[in-house]
Amino acid sequence: MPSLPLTPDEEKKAYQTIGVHSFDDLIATIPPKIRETAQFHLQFEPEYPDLSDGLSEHELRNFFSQIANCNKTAPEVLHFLGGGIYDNVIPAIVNQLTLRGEFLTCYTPYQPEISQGTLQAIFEFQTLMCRITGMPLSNASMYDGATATAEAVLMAQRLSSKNKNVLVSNNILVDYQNVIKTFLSGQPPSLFEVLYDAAGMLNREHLRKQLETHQPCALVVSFPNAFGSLEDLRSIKSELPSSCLLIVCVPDLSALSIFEPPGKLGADIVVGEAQQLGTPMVFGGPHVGFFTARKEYLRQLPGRIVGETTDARGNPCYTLTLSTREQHIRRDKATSNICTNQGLIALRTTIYLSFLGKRGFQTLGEINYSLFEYLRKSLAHRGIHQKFPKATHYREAVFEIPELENKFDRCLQKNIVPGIRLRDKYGPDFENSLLITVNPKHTAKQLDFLVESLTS
Amino acid sequence: MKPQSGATSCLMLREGTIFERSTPERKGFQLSFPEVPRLTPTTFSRTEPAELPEVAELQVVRHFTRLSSWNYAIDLGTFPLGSCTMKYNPRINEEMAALAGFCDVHPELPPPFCQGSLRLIFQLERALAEIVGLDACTLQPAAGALGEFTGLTMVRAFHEKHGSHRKYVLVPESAHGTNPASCILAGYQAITIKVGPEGYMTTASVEDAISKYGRDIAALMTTNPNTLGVFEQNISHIAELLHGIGAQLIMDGANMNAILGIAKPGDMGVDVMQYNLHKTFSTPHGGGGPGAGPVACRSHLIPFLPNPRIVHKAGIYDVEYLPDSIGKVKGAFGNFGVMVRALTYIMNHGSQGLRTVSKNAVINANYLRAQLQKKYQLGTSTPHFHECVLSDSRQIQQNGTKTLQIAKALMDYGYHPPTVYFPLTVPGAMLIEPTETESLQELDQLAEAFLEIAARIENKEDTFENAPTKTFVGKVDEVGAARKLILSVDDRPR
Amino acid sequence: MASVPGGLRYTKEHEWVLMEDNIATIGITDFAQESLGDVTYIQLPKEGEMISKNDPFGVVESVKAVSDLYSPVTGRVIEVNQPLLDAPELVNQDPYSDGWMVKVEVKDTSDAEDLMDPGSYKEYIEEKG
Repeated sequence: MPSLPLTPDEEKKAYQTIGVHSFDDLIATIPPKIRETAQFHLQFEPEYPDLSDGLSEHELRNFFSQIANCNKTAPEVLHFLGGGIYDNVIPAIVNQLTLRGEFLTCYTPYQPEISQGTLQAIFEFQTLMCRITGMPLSNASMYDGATATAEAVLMAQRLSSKNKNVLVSNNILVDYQNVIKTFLSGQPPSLFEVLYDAAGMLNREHLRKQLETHQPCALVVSFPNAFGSLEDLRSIKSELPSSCLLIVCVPDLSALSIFEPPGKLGADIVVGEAQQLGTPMVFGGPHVGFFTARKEYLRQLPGRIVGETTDARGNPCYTLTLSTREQHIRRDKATSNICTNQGLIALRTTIYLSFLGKRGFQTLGEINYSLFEYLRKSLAHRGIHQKFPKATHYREAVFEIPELENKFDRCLQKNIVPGIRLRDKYGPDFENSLLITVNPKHTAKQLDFLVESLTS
Repeated sequence: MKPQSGATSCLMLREGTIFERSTPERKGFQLSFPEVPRLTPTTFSRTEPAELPEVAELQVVRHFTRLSSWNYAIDLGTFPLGSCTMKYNPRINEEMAALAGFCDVHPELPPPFCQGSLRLIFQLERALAEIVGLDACTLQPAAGALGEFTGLTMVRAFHEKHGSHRKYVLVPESAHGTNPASCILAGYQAITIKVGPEGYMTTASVEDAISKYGRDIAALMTTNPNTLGVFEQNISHIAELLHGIGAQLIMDGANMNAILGIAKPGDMGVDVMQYNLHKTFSTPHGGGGPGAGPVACRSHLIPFLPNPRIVHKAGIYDVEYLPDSIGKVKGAFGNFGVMVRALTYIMNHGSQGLRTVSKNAVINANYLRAQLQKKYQLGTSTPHFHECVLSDSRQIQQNGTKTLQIAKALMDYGYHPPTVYFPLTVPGAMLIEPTETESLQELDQLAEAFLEIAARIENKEDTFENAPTKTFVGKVDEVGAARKLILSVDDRPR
Repeated sequence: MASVPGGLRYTKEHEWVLMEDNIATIGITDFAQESLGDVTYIQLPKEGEMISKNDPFGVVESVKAVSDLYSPVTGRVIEVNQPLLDAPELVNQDPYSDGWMVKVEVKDTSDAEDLMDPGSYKEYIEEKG
């Protein structure tokens, strides 16, 4: 039961003004054969087998609450899931402020004179992303971490006039690997894997071999990688010829609160996912990707960019700039086909990071790090060890759990989701491997409970 | 209320960036530290903390509230932005999307723990496919552009599965700039075809292209109603021509808001189409995202849809992987939060209500057109659907005022300008889409503003060179912004 | 009316070329800079690079438009107008002198002969209008 303004009298008045007799006159250019079969039927079994008239707000609340209740969430369920998407505590003001109609119902800021709010917020987002990643240049955001990584690969290819080959470490998130593959499926084969070694880290010997064979223009690694281990970026960079860019996709931006930013470790393009900084998990989206790079790659940066300038009255103000890279002007020569950034979610990130602040951001990192160390020690104490123990970990790692299948099911029965099973994602070597992730909502007691459940 | 009661007659508060509000050691949001030993890393540890602002709660709230007041938005006034469908976003959608049972769900939860989310995607996919008369739908693409790429890539996978390696995609010259950009990304060359004098494609132009490129044509990609707001009357015949050489008809559903319950793309011979939940199904635009760009297709293309697919078997919702799928186009399942809003909107309207949406959108656009054509040249005389196109040709003749000035002048009357200089086929185009959620009174006021601007031009009183003058900031120096790039606070000259 | 100096040759893409012995100096015309509007960025090849007749050798951008630069000759770039890269507005202020772009050492000095002379170019832009 929608609320639309046009009354029956006004409808008649409108036809008079237009100079037609009925609505059919307005759609007469549609061939009759197409018009005849146009009506559709909406089925939402079992409640609404033919929804013709629409529901009231009250009915909608009932229906959607009932669907939402079919999901099992906290506090009923305790989970230790991560792998690029993380649970976090979100301050009340983030939701309140982003629900303001002036943010929620505005458009892409093509008209700077009446979009300063959005533009300045994006400028602040760009600044925050640069300061966290240690890179000098950021765009206005991307769809998510996976698509940002794929766009980074395309950008590296544009920057390289000769060789378009790209190496991807196969210890980056599987979802990211798959999205890169799809994005590049329209061009001649140019993606090659670098395997990880026995420690779960980028295999240097294989890297050297692949560098020699394929002369790539870029290498994609993550920090930490999909097994939660921090790669030694500085030494990886030293292996690469100057023609090969280091692209780092960071599944975990919050790690950069306490770990050295990739910008200081030799990375050339740093991209990834910012969801956990102010945005709920929402079954995987909407989230927000970030995209930062060295200054000299500016002209090949995908997506929107906001710049500071002045208005006719001499006051500082903001505008979209460098839009000649974009599809609406460049058409088939554009740096990317993307029109949207992730405006509202980037705004959430900006509000969240502003409120969390310099110290709060460090505390967030320390909480994750300390919770993980506590968990790791407790598990080790009970005889459960990491698959890749040598590396430095931030907040998640792969644990080898004997008879995982049984243990996993038993946990589920107790409404604990103990982690992500990696067998289906990374192959049979991971039969008994579980990626366990901590987040700032966890308490010491809950970690104890997990350890108890996995070992008893 | 006269429209001139414009944009900046109230108190507006200036505000620097959030970094300028920062004071060392001021505490912001407080996290509680769990009862575990506090540790810091010993390897790769960060030597200098990231310089985030240090501000307290009220300062953050005031900062962003002030920023918000500088934005124009649907909630403030009419937004006649053609091809963008800036309709009102009912707030019940937001309330449903904010349910904790939807927000606190990790996509790696085992299916028995997320039956609600899986059901919602499954049923929304079914509803969207039914609305456009196609057989299946994916909700994975994050926005329209990614939807276009998905559709094109599915078409390529289909051809390759049948041993056919085609090169070209036909795109009418009136197409959105995204269309050719998406073709390139999908590995196709876009071939522009002319639009006929009436504003829609002729079968002859498609026949020409077919005789020239033959079976190297993978598909034709068109918007219908097209970017002029005109129905592609030859669409069924064009579909037959394409199918005759094994090519596919791809539809960009950017203008679906015109034809809900009035025409089904499936009945026009469309094989695959992408549409936008943030346009037709009223999910908020949010200053440029998040959107969602579902893709629907006919049965022969189902095997190529992105993985994973959501299936319903024996009363249980589950995920399934198709062997011939094009793979993943985005992380997880897509923008789920946007899907909740769209399904709320669809169920709020029901099938009859959605038809009324399109009906009223078409009535509103034609009502506005009838008033505006008194002073403005129409971009085409062919009947319009949910949007209409004007040209600045009369105004240029009268005193040299161009579309850009007219657009900027509208801001001083309290309106967001229409889409300008698009479609490219109309010189100085103004593409106007009022949507069904505006009342006739609001359209009368908008028309009054348009006509007053035209009258001032006709009487040679104004060329609006300096417009806008009443907005919060004056004319923005875009040239300066591009020449002296300041893209973060740290780029400012010291 | 856009100025069209004598002594130069002109391309359909609105580049001008000045031939002095085997050295070609290349820039864009007054008409081109007017249609582009305020130029904000110019990308040119490096000294020593080879460029070929009718192929793109650089890019010129304004706020709303971007356009490839097409070389009227084939040869090696021997000099690039460095000040122009930092001050692209020179193209708007003075497209035929301070706004020059590259000097190219050509192999075939007759390369520019098939281009338009000032008279034909004037007619050409009047038609475009």
